[in-house]
Amino acid sequence: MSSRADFAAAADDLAIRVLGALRGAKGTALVARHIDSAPDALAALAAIRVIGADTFSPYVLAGAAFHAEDAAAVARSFEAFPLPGSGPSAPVDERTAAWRDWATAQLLSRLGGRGTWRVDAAQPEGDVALADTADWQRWSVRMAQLATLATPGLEGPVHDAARGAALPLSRGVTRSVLRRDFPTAVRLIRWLAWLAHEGVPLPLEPLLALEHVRLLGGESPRTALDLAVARHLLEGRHHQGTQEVRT
Amino acid sequence: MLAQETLRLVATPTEAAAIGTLMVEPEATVSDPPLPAPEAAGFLLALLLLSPKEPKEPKGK
Repeated sequence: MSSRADFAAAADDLAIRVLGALRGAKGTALVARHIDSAPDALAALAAIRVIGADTFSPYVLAGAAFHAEDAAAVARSFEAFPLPGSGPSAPVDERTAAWRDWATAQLLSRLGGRGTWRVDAAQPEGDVALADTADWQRWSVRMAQLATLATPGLEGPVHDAARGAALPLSRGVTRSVLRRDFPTAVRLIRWLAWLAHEGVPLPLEPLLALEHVRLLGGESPRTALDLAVARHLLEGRHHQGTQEVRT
Repeated sequence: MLAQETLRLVATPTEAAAIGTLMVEPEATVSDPPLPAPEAAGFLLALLLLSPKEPKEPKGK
């Protein structure tokens, strides 16, 4: 039986692979290779769900070739682990996980092209808390948990909420930095980078904030991946167009 | 091609719960700032008393 530590280690391993591909490393299907080379296949599948939509960042942001084996591997991760509750009565954490799965499924269906790898991860409904930024501390923590959605090509209520909340997001960044919670700070900076990419005026300079947290706390692979995605967004390096799957 | 294609894996409820906590990580707890320790006052006073005197400028120069 796999433990949470096994899943976390596998997620770090996949984050390193994705980061390498994002930085330009060429090679075979990275997600399928991640599973084939893993000593614990279930942990490797768990890692895909944990990294979520960021698994596709080399294809979305850097224009890497998407392979059919990668699509199959992502679909298998949804078979192995059940979908979380996405209805209005589901706990907030489950709805947050459901949003992340929805983003992964969206990119899988888009990049999968004519392939048959589709996942039935429905968009959560009735998530009214997304638009309520009065308690910006709690709200910004939730947006940090949803940072994988800050990816070009995804669009939904989470993105609408972010567009109207540049100030709460900036406050969240400042608060996280003061609390020395750098993983949360990086995830919120990623949202600011996404807003900058969208042309939304910001009260906080995201590149300076990114450099600050990079120097202080960007050592974990998952945080490094968030930093790399944010930098891509800020520097405008975004692969245009949708690429079909390579078989 | 996926080498483990024929193998179908399904997580147990415990494993499914573990992945949930990794997907939705809470914010880090704040570590307390350094606090003064009253019991260290005597030690600091002893260091102050035992420290060598300030060097003086030699006379006659």
